[in-house]
Amino acid sequence: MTPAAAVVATAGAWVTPADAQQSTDMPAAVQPGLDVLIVREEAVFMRLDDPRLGGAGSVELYEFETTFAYGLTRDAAVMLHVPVMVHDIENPGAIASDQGVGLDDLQLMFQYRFYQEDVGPIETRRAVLLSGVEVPSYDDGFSSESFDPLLGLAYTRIDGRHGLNASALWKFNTGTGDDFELEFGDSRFDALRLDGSYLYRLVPEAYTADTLGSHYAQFQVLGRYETNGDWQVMLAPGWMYEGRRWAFEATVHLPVIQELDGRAELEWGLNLGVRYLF
Amino acid sequence: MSTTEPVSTAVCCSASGGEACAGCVTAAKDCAACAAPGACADCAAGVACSLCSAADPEVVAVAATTPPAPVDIPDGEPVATIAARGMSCPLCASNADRRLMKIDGVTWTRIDLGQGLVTVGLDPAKPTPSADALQTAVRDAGFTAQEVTLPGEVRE
Repeated sequence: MTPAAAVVATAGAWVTPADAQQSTDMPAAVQPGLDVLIVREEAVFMRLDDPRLGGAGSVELYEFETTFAYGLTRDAAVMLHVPVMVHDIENPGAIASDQGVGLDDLQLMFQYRFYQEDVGPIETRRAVLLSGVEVPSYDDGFSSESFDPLLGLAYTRIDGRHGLNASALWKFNTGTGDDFELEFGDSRFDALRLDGSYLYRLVPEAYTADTLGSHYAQFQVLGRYETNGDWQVMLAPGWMYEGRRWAFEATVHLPVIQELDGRAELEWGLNLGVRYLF
Repeated sequence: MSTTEPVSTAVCCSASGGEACAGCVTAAKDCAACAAPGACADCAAGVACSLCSAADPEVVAVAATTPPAPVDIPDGEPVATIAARGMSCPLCASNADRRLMKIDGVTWTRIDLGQGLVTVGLDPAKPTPSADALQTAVRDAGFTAQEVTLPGEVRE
């Protein structure tokens, strides 16, 4: 792996499904129905700071992530996540360039819903198994150049205006890592995401046959742990509007705890997204 | 609403998890929102069963802010209804709508997320889709399909 490959080897926002009632930055137990394609586009901005001796200094990352989610059956879906990365690094050091545009590693995910209990018109409890692999893009300066398996679970519960999501996703990092890591999951260490969210439907108060869309407030707690001992907790509040064919969403990422020795610290982040159901 | 008589805003207690009134089928008023077993399925007026709504005053109070879905069906046009669960958002409704519209004979759909009631218009010139086909469409969209009422059927 080249030194430049340590830069943002993995997009901070690992692939998430692209369906309804899911919060923006984490997986949920919802998915496209049979033969349904949902395309999701996210623009993620992160401002990082790496004050370590020989570190990158101030870093600005822009990720433009496209996710294609397709329903194979009513219970199974596949997702392809394609992230384009733009970075601006104050102290590139061993990295190939201080500014660059490239293709980050892709993610191919399979999601299977093994539990579903629909207890009311809108009330439901669901759980899915997540499995997949990060596929290297081999784009110099952006790719980890390793195939890294992913395995996890997600649970979703919806009651009236309230929605709860919880997920855990483990990455088996088979790469060699590097001394210059910026994002969660970049290193040679395995990495765990533990996320939870609460969504509240602001409007309408109640659904009717004339409901065309709904606004939600979302509150996310995003946890990150790597087996080198680094861990991080972020709050990510936001808003989402969901119509009958498309949805808009926006969240802000605010770190509250960061115990990081192996990579840059997040100052703040922003995620803007749109989804469309074909 | 297209009805000419005063319409109650109450809905059947079964919409909030209660047990539908067994006498609804013989009541003077039909509940457009009923989906539980035993509820009256011959719904067109969108008016709650007076016996059901009287059983739970709280349901009446809640329903006052949640009027039943207005039904504007041309005279003589056959419709079918499917009781569905787990459609938790507008995107969900679109999902179910797409699959139902693929069924030969279905001309339109109307989905009331709040009541979990799917109404489909049927082409009288074509064979009526089977209840199984309608249920399968809702299930394939990712939800739970319950009772189906085809044209001319009345639940007892």
